[in-house]
Amino acid sequence: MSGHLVDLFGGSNAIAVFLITIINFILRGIGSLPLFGFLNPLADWLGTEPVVTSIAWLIAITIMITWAAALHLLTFIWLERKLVARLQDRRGPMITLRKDRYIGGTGYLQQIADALKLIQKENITPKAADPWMFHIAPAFLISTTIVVLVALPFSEGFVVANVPAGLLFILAAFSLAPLAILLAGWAQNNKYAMIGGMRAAAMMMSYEIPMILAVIAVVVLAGSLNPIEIVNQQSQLSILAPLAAIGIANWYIIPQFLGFFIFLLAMLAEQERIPFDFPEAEEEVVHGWLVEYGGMRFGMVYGFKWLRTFVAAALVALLFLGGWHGPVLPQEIWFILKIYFVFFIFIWISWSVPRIRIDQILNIGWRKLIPLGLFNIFLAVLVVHANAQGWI
Amino acid sequence: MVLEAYYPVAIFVLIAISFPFMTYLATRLLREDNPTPLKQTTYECGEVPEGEANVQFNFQYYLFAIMFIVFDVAAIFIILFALIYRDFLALDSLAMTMMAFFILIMTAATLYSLKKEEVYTV
Amino acid sequence: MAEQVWINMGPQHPMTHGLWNLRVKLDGDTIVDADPEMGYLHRGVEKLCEVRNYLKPIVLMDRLCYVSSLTWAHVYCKAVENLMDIEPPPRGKYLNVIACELQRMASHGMWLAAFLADLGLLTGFLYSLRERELVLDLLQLMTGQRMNQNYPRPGGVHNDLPPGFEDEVRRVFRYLRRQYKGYKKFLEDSPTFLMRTQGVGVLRKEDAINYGVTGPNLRGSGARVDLRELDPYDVYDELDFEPVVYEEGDTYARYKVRFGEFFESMRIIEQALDRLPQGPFRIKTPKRAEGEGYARTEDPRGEALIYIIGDGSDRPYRVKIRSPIFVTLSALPMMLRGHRIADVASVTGGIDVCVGEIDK
Repeated sequence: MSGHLVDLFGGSNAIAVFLITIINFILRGIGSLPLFGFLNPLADWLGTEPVVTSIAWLIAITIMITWAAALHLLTFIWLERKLVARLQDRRGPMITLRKDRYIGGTGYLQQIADALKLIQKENITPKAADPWMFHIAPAFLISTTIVVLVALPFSEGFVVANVPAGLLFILAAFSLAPLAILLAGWAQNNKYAMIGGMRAAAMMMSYEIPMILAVIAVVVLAGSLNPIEIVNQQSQLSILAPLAAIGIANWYIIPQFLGFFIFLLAMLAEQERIPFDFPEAEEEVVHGWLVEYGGMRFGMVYGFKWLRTFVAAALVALLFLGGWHGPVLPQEIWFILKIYFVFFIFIWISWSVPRIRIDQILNIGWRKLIPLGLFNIFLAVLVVHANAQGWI
Repeated sequence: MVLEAYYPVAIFVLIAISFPFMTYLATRLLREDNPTPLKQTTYECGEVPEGEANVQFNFQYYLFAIMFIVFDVAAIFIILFALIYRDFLALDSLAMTMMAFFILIMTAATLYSLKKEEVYTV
Repeated sequence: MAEQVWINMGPQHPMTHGLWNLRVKLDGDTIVDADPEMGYLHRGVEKLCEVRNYLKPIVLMDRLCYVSSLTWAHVYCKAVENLMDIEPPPRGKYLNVIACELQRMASHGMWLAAFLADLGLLTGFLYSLRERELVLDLLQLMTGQRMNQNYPRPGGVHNDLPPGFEDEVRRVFRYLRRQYKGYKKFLEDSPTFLMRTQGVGVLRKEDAINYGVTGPNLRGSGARVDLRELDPYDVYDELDFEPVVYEEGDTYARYKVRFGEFFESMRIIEQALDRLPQGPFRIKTPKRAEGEGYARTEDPRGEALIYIIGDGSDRPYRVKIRSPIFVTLSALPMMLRGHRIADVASVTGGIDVCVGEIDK
């Protein structure tokens, strides 16, 4: 058990107060001049508590988006490319800025080069498409993915909003993507996109319920929908503590291995990773619902797939792997380590299996995962009951 | 007030909605636009598409969709149960029995409806 | 009533491996009808042969199928030999067998790569291409080229084996056997792979024969038809091998046939190397020929047949090429009907389409 490094709101508040002090100093300086006296009330207004809080929230949000979307998104893309390359006996991207050689570097700049290329590309709207929906659909997808970050904690302090039903909010926002895909598929008036969109809708019906059931089992154990509360429950030694000696006291993966498995599968499907990437299956429907998008519309959707991966890995770590709990190291480091570990599992699975078929995932989802998920809830109820009765 | 905690969420939602549109605006400054009729044709592997794509699509997984709605409602019910179970009901064996019964009914209903409607042969 | 739509899968589609168009009629996600369209890659090879003397079409035949160049040059040379009524020396025949079987291994390696990529398993794609590289190295050692070998000649082969070739072959085969056993386990133990291939694109034995399907696709339907055994050419009658036959007729059976043939080819090559006789590897051939000659061989994709008419000049009067996959594709609509659009990749990948030889 160790403390957290970052207190996001406290830090943001300090920054906000600092900025407002500077601005007020300037404003009052100008306001002391004749004719500029109207600036003084503005400075007074800036100094009031709600304004400072609002600016602190804005700063916190900016930090969070930069942290997740800029830092980890880029690292995830790079890491996936590199790891898959190693898995496939390749080297992966090796672009470097050094003048004497153009390859041989780590290749971290590759994503940035790709983004720069995509930004400059023309945005083509097909004549047959519905132009408004065509542009709104990817924006919808990106917005819903970013929104997830508001309630996603990275440690006890590193969270934008500690809301009571945070987990429900995360899952709700995270699950909106198939709707955006369906919208995009319909708007393009392209047959591949249409099939892709319909596949996204059909796939959603197969994995959403098992995912919710797996989460419910965790909620039964934790008795809360607040992610921070759920993680803190996993540090207590109340329910099952066989591995307390090595520091993984009460991670829910131990009583909930079935749930972990179901949730991992559902998260793979949620990200549209390879065994479940029907909506954009390259060899079947070209690129599915993305087929008509070009330029930065494609680039953003494609890049934000890894933000979804990041969130999915964070959720798995949060719910089943004890969140940020671990010995010695600070909480943030533990959590990031776990996220990268789960990400590694995602990559490993998705690059070693072929894509399955849409009716097969529906059958697996409804005939295997849902009964298993229900049984899993019963197991969780049983564990909690036994614990309350003092049987364990 | 409980809703105060959701104040940053509201700000965040606004920022998240504006983010893609700001990116759209930013890319508009950096790219060139030169649409030609050929570029704007619908892509269908280099062939001219036959007819519209926005047809009345035969959505073969319709029965799954109906079951999905039913299950979503049931899942909400179980979430409510799960939320209070640990702190208020755990000592009561009846709650556990009822839950087991409910889960049993749901499992049986799923399997029965899948079998009855033969959705997996669609 | 929902509408049914025709959708073009090709010519610029990742599934097609080349330029051809599979028009598919969809009802929702299910395929109601299919219609392969050919001709995007037509080069007029048959006609081009008529304005060249008998030796020169070999390079054209090399470019007929870009995955299996050498076997097409080989069947052409066989046809010319039959037309000219000459018999290549034994060493030439053995070398031809070795080269053709190496080409078959390379072709099946490419097939496995493309098939797995069709199923969405890009890792398998790269693994298979990596092992195929070793086979191509052997071919390069033997013929000097990796892709368009230009190796068989009427009356033998172009050049003899390089020194140390036999040891190299055995070394590579030891490695390949181990690797491919691993891949076999990797694929056949994967429920996902089985789900995508078993029961997909079933081609019954009678239908396969009626549609004129040949080669591994026919053997996957349970018919023991292998021209190397039924109508032995070169020295196949002296070698001990077993045609790989599976009964099910689905994509999985076709996969098993090709995987088995990979190992059979290794066996054949090792036997051929053991029995390789000394002597000349090529004899001189006449420049002009009159009459008819045809040859059919077991191409990696099925029965390849070339029929030549000579009119006494130094050029063929007419050359006819029977492309096995062109015939096999006629059975494709039947195999696809009732399946889902996702199975198109599995089925067309499973029958190993090579557009170069289809369009000639």
